[in-house]
Amino acid sequence: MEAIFKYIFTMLVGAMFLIFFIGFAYKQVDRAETTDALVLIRGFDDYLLLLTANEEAKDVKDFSSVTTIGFNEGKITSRTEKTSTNRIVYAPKTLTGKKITARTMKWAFPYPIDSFFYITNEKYKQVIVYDDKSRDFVMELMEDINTTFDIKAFSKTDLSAKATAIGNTYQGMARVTFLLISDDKWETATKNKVKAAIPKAVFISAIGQGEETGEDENAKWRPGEITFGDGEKADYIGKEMLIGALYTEDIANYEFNFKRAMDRLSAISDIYKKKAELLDQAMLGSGCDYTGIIGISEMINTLGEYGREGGRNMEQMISISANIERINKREFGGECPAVF
Amino acid sequence: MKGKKGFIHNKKGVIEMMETFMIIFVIFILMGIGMFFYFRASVSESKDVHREVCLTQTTELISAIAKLTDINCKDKHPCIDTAKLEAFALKSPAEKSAVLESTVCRKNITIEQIYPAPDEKGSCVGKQASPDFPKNCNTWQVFSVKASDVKGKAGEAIAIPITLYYPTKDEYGMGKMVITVYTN
Repeated sequence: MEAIFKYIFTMLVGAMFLIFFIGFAYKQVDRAETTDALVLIRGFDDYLLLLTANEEAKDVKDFSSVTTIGFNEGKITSRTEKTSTNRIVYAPKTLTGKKITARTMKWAFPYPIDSFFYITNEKYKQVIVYDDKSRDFVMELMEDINTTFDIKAFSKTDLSAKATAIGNTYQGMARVTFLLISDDKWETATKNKVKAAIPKAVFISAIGQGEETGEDENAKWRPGEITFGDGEKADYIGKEMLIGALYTEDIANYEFNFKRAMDRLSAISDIYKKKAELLDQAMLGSGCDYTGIIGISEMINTLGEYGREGGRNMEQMISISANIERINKREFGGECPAVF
Repeated sequence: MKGKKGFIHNKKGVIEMMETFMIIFVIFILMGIGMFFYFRASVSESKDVHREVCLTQTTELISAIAKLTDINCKDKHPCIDTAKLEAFALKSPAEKSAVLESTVCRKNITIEQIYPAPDEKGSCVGKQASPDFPKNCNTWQVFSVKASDVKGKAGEAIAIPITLYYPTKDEYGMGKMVITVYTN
């Protein structure tokens, strides 16, 4: 009886030791696996700032093990770590995989405002769909972004005719976002065909609302309105925001980034306004007049604020931006230093 | 007799049990000491890694900071626009933090003018409209952390040469960007 008790006691103590060491070993393995993700998340803003050294850039981060990172309205989370970012980041709400890809592009309106970041992994794909009217704009866009972005473009008719073949190339994806750039809405038949071939397909559309000019035939498509899958609508200014919609999971995150972009527009406009005031003061009596730029920068600053309220006046913002660019080109350069 | 034998036997058992507990106790103490040294080494390694990451990242970040839309000029070659720099320097700490604050390591960022050699030292904020500019001052404080955040921490300075553009004169000069990183 005593011998049995001894054995049971020894086994219990042995099991305790074993559990302790196994637990310790697992924690160490876990720690090693998530270190890269933690370093990335803790220094996320610095990592993104590093990418901004170029106009357009792409970087792939390899975590060497499956890691889940969450992105939601400026907050970034991993299993154990939470942080927030001040940057404008378009990403799905959750990315699970061994790698993530970060891309960046600079947004200008009319002067360079800030870099936008697009984060994804190999399980998320983006497709632009065009019709005859938007074809030139999409071709120009693809030419601009094809070195950095892995976005495919199909004509609406091709997508409808070859839905199954196109669908085969996107098997096993977590989400494939189709952005239709057109004055027309998605046709239900096309959506059904694509959905049958790609069950994880998501459909959004964009309508251009810009003014076509002789100098720039594609100007119509630069500002406009995006309709998300649930029918909710949001504004966009420039191809950078249009691409942002492709990488964002929902309108709430898209709108969050739009507000941030407006904040940055206000901040940069304020800098240019102060620069114009300084130049105006320094160039007094030289015949250089900066009052136009000062006034307009003030207006764009106010409109940036206005844009955040929801009741936006996009037409007015776009017209002011075009005006400010015109004044800068027409009146400055040569003896009068340009504001931007 | 039977009871006495049982008593002796129980006493032996108690002694054996105490021996076992003593051995387990000693093993736990040894493990505790081992863990203490392991975690101490681990914390020290983490601090070294943090310092290394901080310095490497800051060195890499300098070129990105010089290209921030808030302070850069629109030239093909990277340069810093002193009029934009002044406007940025006048922004509130919260506004600056949104652009430059780092979660990895705290840092102060200063831009110093080297050429043309300044006749006077001090902040250039508010002096650019003067005909003596850029010789009437030599520094712009771009970003500074709260003194309380870096109290007792050692700062390490990293500097790179930069091109400065003076829009009020439409001329270029030379300067350096100094980043003081607080690691420990």
